[in-house]
Amino acid sequence: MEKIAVVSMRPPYGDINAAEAVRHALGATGEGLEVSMLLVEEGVLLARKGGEEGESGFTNLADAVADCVDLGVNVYADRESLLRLGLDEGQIIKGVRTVSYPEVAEIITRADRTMIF
Amino acid sequence: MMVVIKSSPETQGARQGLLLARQGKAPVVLIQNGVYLALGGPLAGFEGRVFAVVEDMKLRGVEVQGDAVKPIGYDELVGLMAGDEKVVGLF
Repeated sequence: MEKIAVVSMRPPYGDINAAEAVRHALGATGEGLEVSMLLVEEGVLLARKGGEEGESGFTNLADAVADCVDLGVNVYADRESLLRLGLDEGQIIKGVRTVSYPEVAEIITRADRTMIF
Repeated sequence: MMVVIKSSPETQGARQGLLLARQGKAPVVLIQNGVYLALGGPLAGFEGRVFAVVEDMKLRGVEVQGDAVKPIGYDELVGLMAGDEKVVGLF
């Protein structure tokens, strides 16, 4: 099975990157690829649980990440980035695994393709 | 003077906005991704008033404890901006 790593480095909602990363991760897993979604730097904010879209018109990306987990996407968040941004494991979406940066590098190395957002 | 910050914590924009606010002893208003600053980090030790837009915090699942950051709505944001002599942003 072809492996793809989707790297998300930007926080959600400020621009389109995080939403596109989620969209591509979902699309790839739907096509039968083995998908690893790697949240690094401010991208780890995508793993933050909670969030209510209200009448904003935005798609709730926390729900979308939870969907990724449910559909078999391996979602990882860089531990050092989480710490630096004041997030602990109790504040991130269930099923998102925390990893070290060397582990991030290893996942990317093992992937056949990498997409960076 | 009031400084409006829309950028996330680890951006040059957020750093510049906070630096200006510290040096000018100005209050800060956090909007859009700027509300992530309410989680702490770069805002630690900031002595001025900090406001954050509730709608932007809710979307991002950001909650604040205590009274270090005052949640405001967009109406209040407009009132604050209209009532200040100078508004500097958007960082």
